Amino acid sequence: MANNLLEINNLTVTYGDFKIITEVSFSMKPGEIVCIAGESGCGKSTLIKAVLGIKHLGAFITEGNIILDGRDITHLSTEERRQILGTQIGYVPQNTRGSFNNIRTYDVQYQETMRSHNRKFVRSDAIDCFDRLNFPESSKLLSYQPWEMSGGMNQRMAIALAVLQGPKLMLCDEATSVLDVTSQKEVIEELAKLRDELGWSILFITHNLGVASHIADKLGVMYAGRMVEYGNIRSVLDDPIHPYTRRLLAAIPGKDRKLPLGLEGRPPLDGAEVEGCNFVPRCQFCEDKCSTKPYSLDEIVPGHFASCAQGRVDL
Amino acid sequence: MLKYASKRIIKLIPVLLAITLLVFTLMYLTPGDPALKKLTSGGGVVTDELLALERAEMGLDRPFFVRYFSWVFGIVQGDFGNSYVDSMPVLPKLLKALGYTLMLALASTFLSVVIAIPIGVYTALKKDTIFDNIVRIFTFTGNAMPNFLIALLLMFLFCIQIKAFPVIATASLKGMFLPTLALSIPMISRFARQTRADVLSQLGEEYVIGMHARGVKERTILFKNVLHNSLGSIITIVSLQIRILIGGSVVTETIFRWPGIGSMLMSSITGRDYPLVQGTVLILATLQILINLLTDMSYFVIDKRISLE
Repeated sequence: MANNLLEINNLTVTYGDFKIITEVSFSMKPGEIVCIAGESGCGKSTLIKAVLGIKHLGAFITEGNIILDGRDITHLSTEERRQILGTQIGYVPQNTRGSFNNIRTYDVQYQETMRSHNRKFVRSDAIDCFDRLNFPESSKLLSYQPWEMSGGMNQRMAIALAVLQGPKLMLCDEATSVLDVTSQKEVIEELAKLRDELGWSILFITHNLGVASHIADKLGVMYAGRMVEYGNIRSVLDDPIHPYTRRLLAAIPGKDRKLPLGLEGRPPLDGAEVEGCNFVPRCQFCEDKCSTKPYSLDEIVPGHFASCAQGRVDL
Repeated sequence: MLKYASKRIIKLIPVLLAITLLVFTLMYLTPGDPALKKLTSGGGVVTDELLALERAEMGLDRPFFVRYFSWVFGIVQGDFGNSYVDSMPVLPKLLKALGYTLMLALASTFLSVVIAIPIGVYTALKKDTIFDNIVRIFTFTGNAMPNFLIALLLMFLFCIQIKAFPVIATASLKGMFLPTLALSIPMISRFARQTRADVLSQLGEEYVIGMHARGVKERTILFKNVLHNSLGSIITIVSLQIRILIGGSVVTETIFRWPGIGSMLMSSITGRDYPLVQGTVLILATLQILINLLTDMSYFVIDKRISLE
């Protein structure tokens, strides 16, 4: 599968002694948008941290590997890592103040970023880029400091800087979660547009399945450190296989003023360490064999994988 | 910013006026008669007529407000009056001593900043390593030791054991070395600890991750961003230390016989040399206020969110 941009094989990630992600595998083609959804703590942000591989983040890959464009980037030296960050992998964090130093101008921060990769920063290029992305006041933007901007604008400035840096893969960690609906729409549309124009592949972490259905090509669902379902977005949303995905979809709040069904209980904290299926305590379809059957992600329908298909006909 | 500065300087005038009144009143109320002090210091027999004559000559027989206003009007014209002790003009004497104090204050602050900030940054980066722990022991001790003890220890080591420096400092580069070092050691400790704490808290900020994530060089993150954002509290503590030092470190100046403003103020108070005391306090108060202004303005340069209004 040489034409994959990103391949994640059998990835296991720990924080200290604590296992967060177990045996996660999937791949992304160039220009593909993959959303990973799941409850808080399921390991979806850790997945991004593992791909970024910044040592300050504390995520440690114990097994498996990450291949970016044919190159194994699982274990790189700090300097090798620094060179691919920004230029090959872009990142938009959840915290809208998480990209820039709040009290220095965008101008110096753009410059510092480009110079760190021995590239020249041309102001007019940046302004062209702002125009292309329809930013208001494009000629003045660089002279502002991030605190003078809204959170949404700050995210868009981070995306614009990524456009200048030109990575192939963008990692978005709940990049739109804290934005209001208008800014959320702007950021999402921007990302989709850039995928079309620049061929970006985007790994998009979200708990908002509405956002996912809007931009994603593929959807992965994680539960307690494991990928429980993965496939084409329409297939997963319209015909969910795993009991957890089905409950998750039923838990989306609607406009009918009724509280959604929800999902009782909490995911196990040590879910990544559990033998057998770790959804058993919350599953209404589980059988005795579920607690012992080893985890595996199987192709149930062509192109649509799930680790369990119990009770599928019931829904 | 210039508008802000001039506004603040104009506001300074009533404050300074209040200070003149306060200083003058305090000196007026202080027990002891400068005329008597002056006459007895000559060693002669003091008669009532002589004392009255001397008081009239020194202007001490005039009413309080007459004396106060003549002093203030003199200052406005640049005349700080003459010393009661040697009848010489106060201002040149004062400025000379202030010059000596400023030399020490600025040299020791500069030395401390130059040494302490790299130490602070480095220990923050190497948190909890052996190096960090050793530095912490030193900075803790340096911070806790009183100035006079450090001064005496240095003197013992450099002047008596090694004999590299004279015991009485002269106003030269060599003479400055020991007093500067004595003042610097506690400051280095304080600044290094402050820098370490601020850099550590900044390193935990999310933008640091954001910068790493786009491959910004570690050096740039550290020195242009983390340190920049830490500067506010470093400036606060540096400015505080400068203000303390400008008041003259009486103990250090006395131990090293440094002719600074601290020791001059002490001797002029015991000598009841009112014009010198009043002039010194006024100049020091003005300096303190100006440094405050500079400090506030530098906050604004670092962080534009801080409103100057």
